[in-house]
Amino acid sequence: MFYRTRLLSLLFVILITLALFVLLRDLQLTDAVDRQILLHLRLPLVLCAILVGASLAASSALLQVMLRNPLADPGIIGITSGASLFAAIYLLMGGSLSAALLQYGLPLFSFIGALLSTLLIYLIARRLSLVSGSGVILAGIAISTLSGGVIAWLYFFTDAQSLRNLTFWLLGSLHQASLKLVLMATAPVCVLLLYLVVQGRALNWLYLGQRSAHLAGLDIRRFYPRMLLASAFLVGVAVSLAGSIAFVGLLVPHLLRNFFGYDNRFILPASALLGAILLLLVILVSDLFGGVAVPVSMLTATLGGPVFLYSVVKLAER
Amino acid sequence: MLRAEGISLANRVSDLSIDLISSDAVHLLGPNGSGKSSLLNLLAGLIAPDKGNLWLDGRDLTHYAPAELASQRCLMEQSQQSVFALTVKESLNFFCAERAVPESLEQALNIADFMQRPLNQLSGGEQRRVQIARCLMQVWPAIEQGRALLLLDEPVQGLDFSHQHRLCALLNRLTQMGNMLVMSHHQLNLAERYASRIWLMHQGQLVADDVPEQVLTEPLLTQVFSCNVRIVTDTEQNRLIQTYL
Repeated sequence: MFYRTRLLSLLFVILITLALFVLLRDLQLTDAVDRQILLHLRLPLVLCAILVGASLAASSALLQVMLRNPLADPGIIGITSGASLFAAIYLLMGGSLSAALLQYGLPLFSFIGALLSTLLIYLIARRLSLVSGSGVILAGIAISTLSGGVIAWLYFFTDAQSLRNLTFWLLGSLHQASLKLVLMATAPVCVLLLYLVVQGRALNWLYLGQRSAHLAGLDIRRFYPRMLLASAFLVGVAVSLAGSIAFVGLLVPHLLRNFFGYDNRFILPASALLGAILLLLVILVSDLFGGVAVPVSMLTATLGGPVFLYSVVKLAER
Repeated sequence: MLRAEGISLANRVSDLSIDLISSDAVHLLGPNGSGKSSLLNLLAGLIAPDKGNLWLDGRDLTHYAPAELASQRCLMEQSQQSVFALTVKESLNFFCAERAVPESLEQALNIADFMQRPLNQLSGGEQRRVQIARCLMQVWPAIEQGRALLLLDEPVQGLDFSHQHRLCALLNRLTQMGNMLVMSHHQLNLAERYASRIWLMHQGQLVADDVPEQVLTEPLLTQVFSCNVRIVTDTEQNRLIQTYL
């Protein structure tokens, strides 16, 4: 346990160092323009990366154990697509709305979409008596496909500008959230993350299924909806801040379990930290392209794909 | 002490009343589908009966908080699979507050050799031994105080006969400390040798609740299991039960 505490501290130090590096790189704090860049461009970007990466990775680690399926990730079980659908409806129907409404309405709508799709998945999971992880995944794929279909229909009835907004948003970007919005999200996300990462002990019981967890003393009827709601909130915030970001949720917990075992008292906080680190690295890599806003999913998928494949093979050999 | 009064569950258990007292080593017998697992689930408080009441130490079982119940009673279920490749050590640590395997348990179950191996790569019998260890270790402090309720659903399934006997002997030592045991299985000779009482179930009902000599009789077993049963006595006056079609 001791080396894991040290490892968590190390991850935390890396996160802080990386965040400061991304924040302050090439800036002179004595310069007024640089200070504006720091406050209005870099700070929201860095905070957004940390919040989104930590939320996606931690909630995925949680969902994977709760649904007893290592494939569960907000993207795969349909939470992200629910959020995307609502965002699309908003962007395409509310194209004529003012910029202020766009700034707050879009996050709000995608957040509602995430909550509603989680609720739907939860109801389906309950109908399947919560034992069938693959049933939930299949239901998630159905929800994703349905959302995709509806979004495609919406394309028919929209103007070019809204279409561009939507396409860009769907690819995911860490640059679109304003400082105000990011600051609004910071406190609730931090509280919820802290709440989630201390559920490791109860979550360890769920590795062997709900009945085992119940027999070990977990009040499943309370724990389940609470955890699902918390992860839906986190995913909702992540999606509303940065659009849909692929793969972080699937990759990070897998990688950690592969190297450090299954103890959720370590995996949950470590996922949050590593998820945040990963997105900060994405910012750095994306800066290599000299000012072109590279879609985050493009990077997470190309960087994460090979690592994930390696991790899957290693895990199978374990 | 555990008491059930007129408990029923859907079509699986009907109007069943039982008393389990300290140091009871009850072996639960009956054909497939006779309601043994359902009864164990009911006694564990995992599911609530449609009718009737259950009391553990004079308190309604439904009034126990899950965590409180978990410190005193354990239930080993028949099957337990995980999609995650947990090691044996991890699976024990997660459920048993990182306690070391007690020596008496290790002597009976011999699990030390595969602590670092993934659970789902063990043979059926080895997995079963780990499962039994985890179940007992969950309530080990209560076992040491002699107030645990041990419910085991077919624990000897897949175990070689050496481990079957070692397990039954261990469980009997634990019941002698005051703990209560109910275990289901299909080994009539184990029941004859190790049970202090036998519950015989048939079609959701308890058809016998008595000491082995009274329950393990040719007519009763033949009738309940629809199979021929012959009881012979060996040179040391042990009763041996043979079954054939």
